[in-house]
Order: sequence, then C-alpha cells, then structure tokens
Amino acid sequence: MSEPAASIHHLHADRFAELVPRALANVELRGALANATDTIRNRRATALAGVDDLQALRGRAKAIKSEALEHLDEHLERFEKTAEANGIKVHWASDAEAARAVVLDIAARTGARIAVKAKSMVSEEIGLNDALIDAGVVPVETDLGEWIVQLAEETPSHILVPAIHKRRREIRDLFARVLGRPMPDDAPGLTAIARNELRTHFATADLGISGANFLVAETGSFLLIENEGNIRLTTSLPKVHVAIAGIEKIVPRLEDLAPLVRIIARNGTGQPISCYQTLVSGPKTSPDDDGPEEIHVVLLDNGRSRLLADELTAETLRCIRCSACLNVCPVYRQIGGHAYGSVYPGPIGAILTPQIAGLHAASQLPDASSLCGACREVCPVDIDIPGVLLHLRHQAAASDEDDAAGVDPVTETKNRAARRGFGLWRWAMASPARYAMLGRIGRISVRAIRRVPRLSRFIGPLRGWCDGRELPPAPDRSFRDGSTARRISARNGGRRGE
Amino acid sequence: MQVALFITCLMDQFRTSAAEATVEVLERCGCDVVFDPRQTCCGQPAFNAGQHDAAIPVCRSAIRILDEQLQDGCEAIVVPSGSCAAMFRHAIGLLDGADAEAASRVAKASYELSAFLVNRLDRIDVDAGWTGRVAWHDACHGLRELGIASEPRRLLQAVRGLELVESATCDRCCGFGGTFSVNLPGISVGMADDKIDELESLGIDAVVSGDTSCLMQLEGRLAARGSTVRGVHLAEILASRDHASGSES
Amino acid sequence: MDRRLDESAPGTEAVVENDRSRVLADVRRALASARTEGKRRGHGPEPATAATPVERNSVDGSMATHAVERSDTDLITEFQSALDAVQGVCHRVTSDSGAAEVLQAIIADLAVRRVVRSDDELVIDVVERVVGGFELLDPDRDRNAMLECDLGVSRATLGVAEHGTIVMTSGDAAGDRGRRTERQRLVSLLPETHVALLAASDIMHTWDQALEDVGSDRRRLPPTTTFATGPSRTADIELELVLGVHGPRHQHVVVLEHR
Repeated sequence: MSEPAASIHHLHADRFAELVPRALANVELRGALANATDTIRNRRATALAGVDDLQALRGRAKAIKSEALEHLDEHLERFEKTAEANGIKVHWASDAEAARAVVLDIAARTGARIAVKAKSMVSEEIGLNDALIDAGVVPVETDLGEWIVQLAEETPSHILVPAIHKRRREIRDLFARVLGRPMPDDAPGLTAIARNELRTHFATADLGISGANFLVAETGSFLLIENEGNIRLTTSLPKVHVAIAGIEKIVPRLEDLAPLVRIIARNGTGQPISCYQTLVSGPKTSPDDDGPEEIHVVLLDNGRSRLLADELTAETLRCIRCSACLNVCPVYRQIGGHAYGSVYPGPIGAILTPQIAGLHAASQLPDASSLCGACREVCPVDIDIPGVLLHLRHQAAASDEDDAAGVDPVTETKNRAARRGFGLWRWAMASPARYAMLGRIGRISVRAIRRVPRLSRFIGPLRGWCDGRELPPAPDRSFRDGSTARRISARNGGRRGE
Repeated sequence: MQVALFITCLMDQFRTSAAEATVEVLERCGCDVVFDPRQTCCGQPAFNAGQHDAAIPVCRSAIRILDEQLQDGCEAIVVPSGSCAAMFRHAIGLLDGADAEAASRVAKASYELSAFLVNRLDRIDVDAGWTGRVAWHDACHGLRELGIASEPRRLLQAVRGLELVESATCDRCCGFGGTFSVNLPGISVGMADDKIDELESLGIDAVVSGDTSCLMQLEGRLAARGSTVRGVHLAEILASRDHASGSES
Repeated sequence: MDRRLDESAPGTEAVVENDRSRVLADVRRALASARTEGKRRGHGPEPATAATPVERNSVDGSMATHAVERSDTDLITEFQSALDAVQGVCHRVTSDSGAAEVLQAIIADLAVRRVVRSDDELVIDVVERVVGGFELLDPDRDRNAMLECDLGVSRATLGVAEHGTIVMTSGDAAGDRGRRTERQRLVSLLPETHVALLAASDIMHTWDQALEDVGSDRRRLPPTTTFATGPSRTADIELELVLGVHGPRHQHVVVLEHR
C-alpha cells in the first residue's frame, strides 16, 4: 500500500534532546512562558465559570466532531457539492506538495505579486510561505504575533499566541531594527505601528490566504474566527481568497458551529466569545459589492486520513485548535514551543506531529510528557491525549519488531537501554524472591550513592535522577520483611507458596 | 471488612513507615487486612514506557493475585497510591480474555486509600493527631483518573492539631512521570521547582501526598534545595496519634 | 495538484487517479478499517471525573459549580451591558433623529473629519440628518479614499444580546442569494471607528439564534456574514490586552428602540 508522503515543513523534532537544555537555560523564555500560561489559565477559569453547563457543552462539541469524523468522506463530498453550488472552488490535496501546487497555481493564474496571510497553522505545516517566495510572490503575515515572528525570522512557538516567547522589549527592539526608527515602549504603541505598516499591504495585495476553523458540509460555508480583524481584511480586500483547511475541519451542519464557537474562545483565550467570526458562503454576486471575486478552498489530507483507522488515534482529529492544552501543560511551561521542533507543539503537537510526519521523524515527542493528564482535562473535545501518547510510546518501543515504526537515533538509544532495563525488571518482578533481591540491591545502592555521590555514574540511565535531586533515604528492610507484613499474611493460614 | 492490601513496590521497598501506617489506619478503622506476599509490582513503569512485553506479564500477575483474594473473600482492594490504583483500570485494556475480566473485577474493587476511607467506609475522622501546617499535593493519576480531590482534604481537616492550607499549585504535576524523571531530568526538576517555589511561600511544615513516587520526587528536590519543607505520606499522618511538628515521625 | 477533468465536457474519460480520489479513498479505507478492527488494546479508561480546576479544589469537599445568575432583563439592556463589557459603546434612541444626534456627538467627540456610509436606506436617512462639518463619502468611492476615513456608518442586520454582538451580512446587494445584504462591508472594517445602526426588533438572545436566522434558508446564505463583538483586539504582546488592531478601535452600536 503506497501512501502519499505526509510531511511537516521544517520539522526538526529529532533535535528535541538538544533543544530542551537550551530552552531550560533561557531564563527570559521561562519567565515569559510562566507569565503567559498563568495568565491564560486564569482567564480560562474565569470564562468557564460563566458557562451554565460546561460538561454538556463539552459533550456537544465532542459529539459533533466525533460524528463528523465517523463519516468524513460523506461530509467532504457534501461540502464540495454545496460549496461549489455557492461558487466556491474546491480543491483536494493529498499531501503538502499538492496543496502548495494548488495555491501557487492560483497565484500564477491571477498574477499575484503580494499575498496577505491570516494566521494559518496549516499553511505553516505545508511550508507555503517558502514556496510562495520561491515563486516570486511575497507573503505578508498579518496576524500581529505571526508578523512579529516573521520579522524575527522565527517560527511561531504557540498555536494561538505565536510570539508568546517574546518579551515586549524584545519586540520593541525588533521593530526598531527592522523598520529603522525608534519605537514606543508600550504594547498599544507597538500594536499601532503594526496596524499602520500592515495597512498598506492589505490595500495592495492581490491574494488573501487564510485557514479555516470549521467547514460546514450542509451549506458549503466555512467559518473564520479571530480577534484582530486581519482575517476580515485578508478575506475582504484582495480579489482572490484561498482558504486551506485540514480535512478534519468539517462539521456536518450549520448549527454545529454554535457550540464550537461558544467553547473555543472560552477554552482557548478565556474570552466569552472572540471578537469576529466570519462565515463565508460564497464570492460576491455582483461586481459592485465588496469582497473577493474568487474563493477557493483547499482540502488537505497530509496524513490525517491514516489516523481514522483506529478509534483512539482518530480522537486526535477532533482537535479544534483552541490551545488550552498548551496553556496547562507543565512541560510546555518549562520549554516553550520551539523545543518541539514542530509547527504543532505542546500536548496536541506531541501526538499530531508524529502521526502526520511519522514516528521516525518525531519519536522523542511522545516522551515529552509526565502523563499528568492536565491536557485531557481541559480539552473541549475530550481527546485522550495521554492515551495516544501511550499508544505512540508502545509503537516506538516495538519499533524494531514487526511494527517497524522506526524511531530517531536518540529514541533508539533510549529504547535499547529501556528494553534491557525493563527486561531485567520483568525478570525480577516475576518472582517474589527475585523482586525482594532486586529491592535489597536497590536500597543498598541508594544508600551507597547517598554517602558517595560519585557512585551514581554506575546506575546507568537512572543517574539522571541525581542531577538536582537527592535519592530517598532507603530503609534497612522492606515492609514485607517486617513483622506486620508477616502478621497480616499469616491471617490466611500461613504464607502462600512462592 | 476483609480487605486486600496492595502495598506497591515503591512503598514496600522505600517507604516502610508509610506502609506500616497504612495497615495501622485500616486496622484502626476495623478492617481485617490481608497481605499476599506474592505481589510485586502493578506493571505501570513498563506500561508508561510503552514496554508492553515487560508490562503485560507483571501486570497480569498482580491482577491474578488480587483477583484470587477477591474470590477468597476480600471485599475490597486498598492501594496507598493513586497511580497504582489507576493502573488496574488500564489493565483491562492491556490484558486479554479471562485476565481482562479479572482486571475488570480488580479495578472495580480497588480503592486508593483516602477514597476507601471516605467513600467506602464513610470515615472522615480516624482519630489521628498531627500538629503542623501542611498543604496537600494532588497526585495526577489519583486526581484526574480516579477523581480524588475532596477525600484527602476532608481526612486531613479532621486530624487534631493539623492546619491544612491550599496550595495554588496543588494540581500541577510534580514532574515524576516514571522514566520521564530520569530521561528528561531538567524538565522534571523544573516542574518540581514550580511547585516548591510556591509551597515555600506558604510557611508550611510539610507537603502531603498519597503517592510515594510524588513524595520521592518532591522530597528529592526539597532536600537538594536545602528546604525546611518536608514530605509526608497521607497514611503517615492518619496513623499518628499525637505527632508534634519538628519531632521525629 | 488536482487534475480533475471537467466532467461536463462531452466524451470525458473516467476520472483518473488524482488527489480527490486519493483523499476520499484513503479516508474510506481508514474508516472501514476502524469499523472492522476491535477496540485498541491498552486504550485508556474513561476518567472518573472530567472536573476542571474551576469545579473542584475546594477544601470543604463540595464540588461547587459556579452558576451564572441570569435575571430576566429585556434584550436591549442585556445587549447593552454585554457590549459594555467588551469595551464597545451602546446608545439607545427612540427616534431616527435621536440616532442622528448620537452620530453627531460621536463625530464631534472624536474630531472626525471624513465619514463613509453604506448604502442601507436607514443609514442614508440618518446620516442625512447629521449636520455637516465633516466630509461624507458614499460607498462608491474607491478603497484608497475609504482608507482615509475616520468613521464608518452601516447597518447591523441582527444583534445578539448575550454577547453584545452585531451581525452584518454583505456581498449580495441585489438579493440574488436571498435577502438583500449591504454592499459595503469595508465600511464597518476599515475606519478606526464603526457606528452600527441596529433595530431593537432585530436583537436576538443568543448567537445560536442569530446563526439560525441568517441561515434560515440553508441553500441561500449571504456570501459573507460577520459577527462582531466589540472593538478589535489582541493579546499577542505579553498577553496584554490592546484594543484596536486591524479592525476598528471604537465600536458604537445605536439601538433604535422604535424599530
């Protein structure tokens, strides 16, 4: 079975082990992340306190997305039919390359020189900006956070707040350097600079490129959600509008939008509702009207369809990109988005990235978690992120057998050690006598290392513990060797045989 | 009531005081505690690492032993650890056939310690005394997989001489996460620091948890930081009759 | 790239393998596989509670839910306080001339020099009543001129009381796709200040109801429907809330209670 090559642009998740210490050493970054994630978390809590029946709302959101995925092919075909009846041109792209080709073709045909872009994670995923530049089209990011990272020649580090890793003064200095003049120090002043700079691009752009939050099969419409107004401009001013969306963005009915709109802002940014929702159902009907003459929707697979084959992995596709999981993840809080080396960081990124791009390209990401479950707890569509992480870890561990998922070198080294270690562990746990012996050796070793810390180098991968932590004081004997254990096991008429 | 005790490998080997305390509390509440010494580990460390080849036989063994105890007359299984109790639920999907059915029975009959006392025995006051100011740490599996939040707090509030304060970071992961703690030690320690920075601002004598692994992680970092805050297992507090803060427990 | 052949052309060959057929085939194959395969081994159990930190974490053991008190105020009042909460401004008038006075005051307050209006009848009528002192552009002017405008006046098709949202429909001024929409959506978007005229009888309670109204004929939705709640905003710089980004900085809604 040949599959199209799914890919994520500029993926470097194989450098995770190397990027983590760098992120941890970056005091500024950690301060920015702590401040930002704490703020969003609090706003979310307040926003959700205003919802009468939160569980019911989450249940509805989950049900809508589940239903959409269950018959995704039917809904996709229906969307194509209804959208085209509205005058929207629908394109299909099995992978990133196909999607880029569609957009470049439209740009070439319409003679576009400048393309304004609304924030679209999917466009980052397929590496659209680089492709546009190569084709002689200038892409201009218009979302403030995206524009900031574009000027800094970086990638976004969060799926809703792209420049979350940057302090205000860093942004001020960046603007000053790029625009060649002194800059105000306050956020409103810096924002006004961005507004003025980007205005000119909006006015002259030939092409507007966006993502889509939801596609409605029933009516052939799609919904765009934002706060800044740049999406409205991107989709109103240029003559041609192209929206790129993953196939999982489909919902069956128009009314399905309501619970999703209701929960996405509260859960993601802590607002009761985002500032603007734009429901696009077709190009303008007469030349005198405002709005684009041509509207295109690109339906992107790029590895998503594979996830539908399994009930658990399919849950990944329920994601509505609210980013709540990033904001509660204690790991993301420590290292930020760039360390993940993927367009999709954080908990959702840790499961989406390897499933799109292949475990071999991102096998360290499923390990970037303590399985605390905070992500699942806040997920508005109840994705079992810990469950998928466990599934991917199992795949990675079994990779040298028939599953043949393949992993990156760092994971391979870790797996080898884990196989050996857990092989020994399994052997020991199989009998109470061996277990007791392993326990005794463990306690003796721990006591020795506590006295002579240098000995820690002999405990192999476990020595990672000693970097910053003391080992526990180890008791002389275990519980089961004591009189209490004997007494209470004697209750059933003597010790059970080994 | 006859209850089977699953002591957990970590507590058995590294925190015998808490193990003894667990038995003490259960017996004080009128339970007939039975310990099957064939038990070793629930299998979670390997399961979390994706190592099913190792996890399955170990988990199966634990399930069979406990299921046997249920057949022999134990009405419940008490586990002084949220993560191990939660593992029995995962066992249902991990094992096959008759073992999966046994796992189902075991999971249904299993309780983390505080959940057992409060929800099964209807006990809030276990006649404990422990003088000091403490904050509760919500261990992740117990909190999010088993829904345990109010039970330990109510038990602690009933302890004579104990002052319970809420930590703003109570539901944040301590950073243990099994092999995560040694594979990504920098992140793991950072996560512990997040909590400890806040705990130290509360003027508490100790952070209390129901999980040995969380305590190992927090105490390990607290000691490295030279902190005056200690770690205590819930059972150790509940078994105390008249502990005074600052004295040896 | 989608190389789908034009199916209406006579003598067209059967569609060859292309992205469309590949994507649909891949989706169908995966779905079929999921239906036949049993539940995945090791799939995590449902959590005992899906409580959020807001709902639990109380020392006294109660799982208090924070119910929102909603009294039975009338829709206009609810709309006004919701709009106020998102830094928009709601004006209530009882006549068309009252609306004109409000508009006059806003223009004076903000020292507005150039105003652009949409082609809605009510808007034309109200703006006509406003005493001069500013340059008025009609929507036929080119967009560069509109970029120089300080204030835009247009009609809100609907209002949503629960959030203070206005709903604007555009792109179908001839009414080909259904009900007539406003021609100029840039009027509500480009200038720094937007004033929307909203008839009180057009205020719905919930966003859901507004959506249902706009989509009452599922086959003929307006080309564009915009839901706007307060001035544009961002928190992209250190999570600090800043009003007025690409959309308007000032959002006024004049509720005509007599309509």
